[in-house]
Amino acid sequence: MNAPKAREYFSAYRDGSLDKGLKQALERKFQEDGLLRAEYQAFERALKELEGLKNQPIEVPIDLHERISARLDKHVYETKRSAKPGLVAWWRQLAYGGVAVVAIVGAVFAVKAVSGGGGSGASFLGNGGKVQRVRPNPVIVESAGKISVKFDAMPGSKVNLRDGMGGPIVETLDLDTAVEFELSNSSSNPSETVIEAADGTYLTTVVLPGSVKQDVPTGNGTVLDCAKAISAQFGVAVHIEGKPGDPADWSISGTNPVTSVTAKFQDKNASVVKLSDKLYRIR
Amino acid sequence: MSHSLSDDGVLIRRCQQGDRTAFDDLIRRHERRAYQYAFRLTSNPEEASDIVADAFIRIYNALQSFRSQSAFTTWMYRILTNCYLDLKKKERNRPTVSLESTMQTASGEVERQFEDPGEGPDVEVERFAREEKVQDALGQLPEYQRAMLVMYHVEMLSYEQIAEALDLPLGTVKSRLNRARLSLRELLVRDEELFVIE
Repeated sequence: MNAPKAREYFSAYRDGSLDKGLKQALERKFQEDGLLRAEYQAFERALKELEGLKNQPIEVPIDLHERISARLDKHVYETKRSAKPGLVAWWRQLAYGGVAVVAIVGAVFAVKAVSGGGGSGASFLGNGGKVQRVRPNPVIVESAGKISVKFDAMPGSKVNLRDGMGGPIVETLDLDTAVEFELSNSSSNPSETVIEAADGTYLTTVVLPGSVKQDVPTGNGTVLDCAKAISAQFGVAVHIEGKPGDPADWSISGTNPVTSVTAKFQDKNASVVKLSDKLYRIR
Repeated sequence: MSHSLSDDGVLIRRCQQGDRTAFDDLIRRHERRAYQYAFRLTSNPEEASDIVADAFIRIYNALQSFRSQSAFTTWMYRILTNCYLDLKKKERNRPTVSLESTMQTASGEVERQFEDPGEGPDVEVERFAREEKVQDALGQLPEYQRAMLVMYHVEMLSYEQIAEALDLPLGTVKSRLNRARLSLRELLVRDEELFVIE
């Protein structure tokens, strides 16, 4: 046993999980090699010191709970506001719209009075009444077997792609211009990409198949689990329309995802829609 | 502080039915442990508080999909670790360090990072110095290694729980932890006064 190999066994030796033969070989090595023995002793001391940290008191800020609650309240408020404009926002929008209409109509009449032309103001009115979209709208597409998410340009907006529910952000997309981003999954199992707005508002979820097909013919859990089962069984991507965490029961029998899947989400019959050979949607 | 799984399970089910008071109880139950873990990773009270707040927002958003097959605390460690890694990723883009970090305690606002050990007994001073060295060494390790070492040796999570929290195979957790421990030893033996090689 050489020194680098011996170091690989330091942890297992300390845990007592090294098998008998290796343990004896390592102990023989310690007897022969004083430097390695000293290294192991330093290794043990380092871990002992590290473990001492658990006795070190850490004072928790007295306002921690208030800080968490305040951040959460803000998040919940902003999520609700961006999801559905309230009555006040609606009235405000209407009032601004009215002012804009009056201004535009006034301008049109002024132009008419000067030019004497017979042009219509309808297009101005149409633009004045247009409601701005408040959240980015992800569109999931497939091209040559590759799954991508597309966004129209929304200057000043960003979206985050997360590796799984509550997982790390793997990509932040700037929507100053229209964006198309290819999604990928290098693991053997299906995995989900969660797409959310920069403020954390949930937008949608896409499950991408892993490299290995697996049979998961029946099951119960969540909509996300059902999407993963379809993805694993047929080797296709599944776009989840709706809440991935809602309860779901499913059974799969056959080779065509559209006709083979029988599923219930929250007491409603779910349907699988084919978007392309490699991309399906469940709702 | 220990909590039974069933207590968490009841609270989580109530949260999933839209009971916000239950979520508040869940925060109260776990915020202390969450903060201590975050603080051990960052050594910075402001960052630790931000990580904990971010983590509870993510938990709130994802709670509908939580299925109680693993312990809530394991899931919480996973989300806290991800929040910490995200924060460090953002920091790499704007590398600034605050020297003004303060925290509110029952006795008012105090500086946390650069605390003076004061005129205590020699033993206390030496213990404090050793803890500082260990904390400094931890701070020099890659973030992932730091998180694993703190989870195992300070938070006392098992290899299995770490594997679940970090979504890694058990063997990978063991080999990465061994590398992390060797790296920690490397950093600590440089301080010969505190870690004399026998």
